[in-house]
Amino acid sequence: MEIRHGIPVSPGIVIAEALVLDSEELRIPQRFVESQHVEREIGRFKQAVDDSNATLDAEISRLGEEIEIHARILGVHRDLASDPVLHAEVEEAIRENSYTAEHALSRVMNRYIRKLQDINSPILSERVHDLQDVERLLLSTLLGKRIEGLSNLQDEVVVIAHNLTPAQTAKLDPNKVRGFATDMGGKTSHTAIMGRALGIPAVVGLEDISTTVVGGDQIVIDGYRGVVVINPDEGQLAEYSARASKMQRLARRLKSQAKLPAETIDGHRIEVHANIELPSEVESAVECGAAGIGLYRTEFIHLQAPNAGEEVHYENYRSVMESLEGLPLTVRTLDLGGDKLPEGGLEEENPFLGCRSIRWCLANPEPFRAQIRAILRAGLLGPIRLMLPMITSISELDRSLQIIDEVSDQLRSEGVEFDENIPIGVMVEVPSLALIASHVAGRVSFLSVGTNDLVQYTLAVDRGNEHVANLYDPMHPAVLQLILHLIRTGQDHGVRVSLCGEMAAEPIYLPLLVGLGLREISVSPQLIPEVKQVIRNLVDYEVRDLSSRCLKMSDGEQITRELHRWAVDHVPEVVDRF
Amino acid sequence: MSELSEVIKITHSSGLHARASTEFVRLAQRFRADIEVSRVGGATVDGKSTIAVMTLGAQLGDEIKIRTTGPEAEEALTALSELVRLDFHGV
Repeated sequence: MEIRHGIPVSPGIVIAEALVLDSEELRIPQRFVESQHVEREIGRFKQAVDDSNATLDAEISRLGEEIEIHARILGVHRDLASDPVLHAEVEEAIRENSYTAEHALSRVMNRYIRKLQDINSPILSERVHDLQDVERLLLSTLLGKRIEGLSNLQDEVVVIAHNLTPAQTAKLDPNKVRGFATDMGGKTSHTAIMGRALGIPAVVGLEDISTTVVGGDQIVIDGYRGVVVINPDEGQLAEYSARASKMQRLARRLKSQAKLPAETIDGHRIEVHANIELPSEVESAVECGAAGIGLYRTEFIHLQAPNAGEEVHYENYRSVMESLEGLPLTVRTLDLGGDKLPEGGLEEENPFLGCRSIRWCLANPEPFRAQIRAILRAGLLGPIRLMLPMITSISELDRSLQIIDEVSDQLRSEGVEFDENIPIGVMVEVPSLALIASHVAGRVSFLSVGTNDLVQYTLAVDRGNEHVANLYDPMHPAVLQLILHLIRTGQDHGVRVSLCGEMAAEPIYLPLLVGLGLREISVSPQLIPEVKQVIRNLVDYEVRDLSSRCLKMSDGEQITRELHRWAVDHVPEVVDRF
Repeated sequence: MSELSEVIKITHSSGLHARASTEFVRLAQRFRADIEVSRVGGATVDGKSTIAVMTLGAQLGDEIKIRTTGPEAEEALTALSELVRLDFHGV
C-alpha cells in the first residue's frame, strides 16, 4: 500500500486496476496464477527469454556493420534480456507470490528502472529506455496474441501515464477508462480537460506515478483531494467506497435540479454553457443542464484524421447540432500546437509561444478554409457561432476575418447555401488582446475569455508544468483586472462577454466572477449541476460587494482566502467535499 | 579456495553505468570465478549481471571493490581491475 499526493483536476472517486501507458503500452491481463502452475509460469518466462534473444540475434545480424551503433544497442538489450540476476529475481517472484510471468517481470524491471532514476544522472536516462525496451520485448513475446489493444480493452481500468497526449487519449476506449493519474500536468493540461470531459476523476503532477505503479495494481483515485492510493488495504477500500457513494448521492441530487435555470436569489440569470471536445459529449451536456455549447474544441477532428476535409467537419457539426435540438453552439476553429501537436508538426523550443492556434491556421490556410466552409454551411442547421482562438493583434484578426469573407464569396459563387449572418467572435487568451478590447469589440459580435491561457500568458507560467503549478494563480490581481476590463468593455460596446476557462467551475471563484458582472460562462458538462447550484445561492448585491473588496487586494493568496471564507459561509455544501 | 579483492577508484567520466557496465560484465562472464562488485559505502551486487552493475550507481570519483572467489579468481581480478583502470578502453 502506498499513498501519493498530486493536483486534483477532475472530481470523483474510482477504484480500478491500473493500465500503465508509456513503459507498458501492453496491458497485463492477469496478475496471479494458481500455485500448482508456478513451474509452468517459470517455463513460459524462460521460453520468452529464448525467443526474445532469437529475435534480437536475427535483428543484430540483419543490421550487421552498416548500422553499428544500433546493433550495439541491441547487443546491450540482449545482455539485459539474458541477465542471470534478472532471471533469478523473476523466478523468485513467480515462485514466492504465484505471480504470472508478465506481472513478475514487470515488477522486477520496475524496481531497476526506479533505481536508475534515483541515481539521477542524465547519462542514465537512456539506460531507462533500454530497460523499458527490453521489458516491452519480453512482455510482448510472453503475451503473444493476447496483447490487448488500447481501443478494445476488456476490463475497466484507470490509465496511469507520464503525460497523456491527445494522440494517446484518442486511442483509448472511453467506456473502459475510469480515471487518469499522471506524472506531469497542471489544472488545465490535456489530461485535466479530458478527465472532466469524460466525467472521470483525474489527478496530475504525481511526479513518478508512472514508474511506481505496475500494470494490474489496484488503484484508488480521489479526484477531489488529489490522492492516489496504490494497492489499498481493506480499511482504505471500505473508506473510499463509502466516500464514493456519498459523493454520488450529492451528484445525483444536484443533477435532478440541473435543468432549472441558474438565477441568483435576486433574479439575475446566468447562462451556463458546456465545453466539449467530442460530439458524443453533447447528450450528457444537455442532460447536465447546459444552455448550449459555449466551446466546441475541434482539434480532435483534425488529430484523428489530419486530412479531414470540409465534409468530415460538416458531419461532426451536423451531429452536434442534431443532438442540441435548437440550443446554440459555439465552434472554436482549430487550436493546434501548444500541447496539441499535429503529427509531424513543427518541433519548437517553446511551443506555447510558437506557431500554434490561429497562427498555425493562417500559415496553413487550406485546413482552416475547409473548416470555415463547414461551419458556415452548418449555420443553416441552427444557431451556430464561429470563434477564433489565440488572436493577439488587430491585423491578425483582420486577416482571419478576410479569409472568412473570401470563403463566403467562394460559397456564394458556387451556389452553396450557408448562413450569411453567422456571429463571429474571438477568444481572448492573450493580455495584448485584452488590453485593446475596445478596438476588438467594434469588429466582432462576442468576446470569450479563455482563462486557461490568459492566466498562463499573463503570469508567464506554463500551465502543464508541475514545477510551477503553485504559481498558476487565476486570482492574481492582474488576471482579475484583465477580466474586469473585458466585462466592462463588452457592456460599453453592447458585445456579449462569456468566460470559458476552468476557473468558472471553481465554486469559490464563481461568486467573484458573477460579482464582476459576468453573465455567461462555459464549463465542463459534468460540473454544470454544481455550478448552477452555487449560482442559485448568490445574491447579486452581495457578490458585487465581495468582488469590489477583492479588487482592492494586492495579492492572489489573500483574495483566495477571502473567497474561501465567503464560500464556506454561503455555499458550504459544495465546499466541504474538498 | 582463493578469495581476492581490490579497491579501485572510477576515473571514467560517465561512471560504471551505461556502456562501461556492459564491458565489465562481458569480461566477468568469461571467468569461472564468482565475482562481486560493491560501491564503497553502498550495495554489493553480482559482477556478472549487467542490470545489477548498471544500477549500482558508481559514478566518477567513487571507489568500488571487486571481490573474486573460486577457480580463476586471480586472473579475473587482474583483468577486471585493469579494465576499470584503463577507463573501460574508452567506451
